[in-house]
Amino acid sequence: MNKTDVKQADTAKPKKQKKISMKRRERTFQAFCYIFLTIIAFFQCMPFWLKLVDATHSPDFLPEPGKIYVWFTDFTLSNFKSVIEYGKLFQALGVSLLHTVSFTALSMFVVVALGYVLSKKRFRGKKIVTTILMATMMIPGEVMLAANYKLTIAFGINTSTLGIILPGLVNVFGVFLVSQYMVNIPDSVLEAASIDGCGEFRKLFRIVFPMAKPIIMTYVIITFIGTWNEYLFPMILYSTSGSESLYTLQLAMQNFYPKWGGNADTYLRSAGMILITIPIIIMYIVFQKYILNQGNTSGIK
Amino acid sequence: MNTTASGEMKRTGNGLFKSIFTKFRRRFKNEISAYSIIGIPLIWWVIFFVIAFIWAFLASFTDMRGGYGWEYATTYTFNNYINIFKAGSQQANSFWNAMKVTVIWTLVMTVLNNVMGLLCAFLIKSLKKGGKVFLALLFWPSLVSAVVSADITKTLFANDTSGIFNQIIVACGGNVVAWLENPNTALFAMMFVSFFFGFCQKLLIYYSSIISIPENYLEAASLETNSKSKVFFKITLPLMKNAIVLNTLLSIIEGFKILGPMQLIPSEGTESVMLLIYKTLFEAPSKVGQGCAYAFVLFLFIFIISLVQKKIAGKEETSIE
Repeated sequence: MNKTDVKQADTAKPKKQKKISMKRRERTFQAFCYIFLTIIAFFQCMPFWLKLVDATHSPDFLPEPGKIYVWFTDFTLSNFKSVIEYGKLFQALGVSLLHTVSFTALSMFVVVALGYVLSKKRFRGKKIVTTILMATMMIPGEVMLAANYKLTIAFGINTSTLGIILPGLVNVFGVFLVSQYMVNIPDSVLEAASIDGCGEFRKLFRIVFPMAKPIIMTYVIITFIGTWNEYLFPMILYSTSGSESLYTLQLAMQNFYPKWGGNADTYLRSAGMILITIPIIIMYIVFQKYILNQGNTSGIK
Repeated sequence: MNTTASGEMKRTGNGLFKSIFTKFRRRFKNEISAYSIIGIPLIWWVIFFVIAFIWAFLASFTDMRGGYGWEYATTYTFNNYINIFKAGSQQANSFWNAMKVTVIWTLVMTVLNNVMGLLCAFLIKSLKKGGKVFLALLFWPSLVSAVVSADITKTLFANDTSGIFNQIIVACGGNVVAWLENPNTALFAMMFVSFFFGFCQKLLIYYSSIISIPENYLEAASLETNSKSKVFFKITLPLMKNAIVLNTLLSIIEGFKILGPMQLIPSEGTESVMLLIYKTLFEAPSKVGQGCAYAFVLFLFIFIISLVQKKIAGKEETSIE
């Protein structure tokens, strides 16, 4: 539909071409762009706004059927308080933070170490390691769902947060993302460092980390958001073991049906959904630069 | 050689052992430093990827059910795979029904995401001011978790008049639609939300590709013609081929692995392959063998598609050269 809009606009123009100057045409095109993009952005944000309005209705509020509430009526913040209390959100927040932060940090070290060695060091067996890693990039992790579950049982970590942290740590895609960037670090800098007596690990932390900071930041943020939003593997482990230390925010909200009757449930759920999205939005606002750069890096491939 | 080495070691004792050790260290200096860094990650990867892969592959040939271990399996046969391809069997029915849903999903989402992503990238690029702002505004909804977007789907497409889509239909004089109760409309609802919030991930890749096109190409083209669409289709689009191939491949793979909306929005008849795999593996009685076989057939599909895609991309590249 949108495509045809553009085409129509373009085919309609040549007829009037003589009358309308280039400048005028350019201006109408610009206006069209702004209006079109604004409409899309507006409709994308609208559901979240409606959720927010929904979340601030007081529990006894009865909406009129057939009416959309776009502004606050019967405003209260008690839903946020209730959902935190009854959804055990603080406890879940602890689990989520532990899961997300430790997974992101460990995964970053793994990816940087592998990326650095595979892009900058010369050693026997490098080609074999690289080809095998490359070849397995095609295999979706979902194939190994049962096997990873079995492994967490075998290691005895299926009832602890470790069970959702340890399995996916080595992200091969991330390794190649990072190593593609690190190829551009000049060898001379690394050589100079080792002449000055830098060990491998010091080189990694003092030189490679700062020089590859943009790509590492991008990887960290993407991983952080992905881990924060993850629910499949935690849900598998939680539903089979029922351990509290696997109860992440996503699971908490997914299973949250307080059965208060009326519309109270929806209001509480809306409040919870807003709460679990806030960290993502904060991340986005703070690290926008790196998030919006990820296209650059994956476009290289 | 071993015997002489050990004999010498006995004679000269510690000194020779040390010299062999230092020789070894000098000779494999690079390897030692490299593997000391990547050794643990590699072992990690071998455990959670290679061993897991082999385990799942072997398990797919067994009749393992009710538990996750070899004690639950009795025989090694091809039955799990035969069942999937045998017409009329219950496994084949559920698998190919799920495959149908998945393929529809993949096709629609790939086309919509890429067309919309390309269009928006082009529009944002042509803006004189504020392009970055729009990029930022459009992108953030794609970071929202599956749980939240499932909840949004449920409110937008609620079965009674509380949902916006039903209100629009009622306002236009239609009847209330029970969106999530009919498989077709439920799938439409899931697709709509998934597309509307998610297409910006593709947009980002297209945008970075479109801004990397040298400005002078476009200037030269705009001297020749007045039509913006001509420039777009003749110059911009061919130069973005890499991004298009990458995005299409990503969309197809994502589409085949879709699970979130189907699982989080309760509805009949919208089971995707991944959901079928999940249910077979983890819902009692967990038929682990059969589930692994499903997963490997799905993997085969994804693998073939990416090979075909690679071949197409490679051919065109050589023909341009």
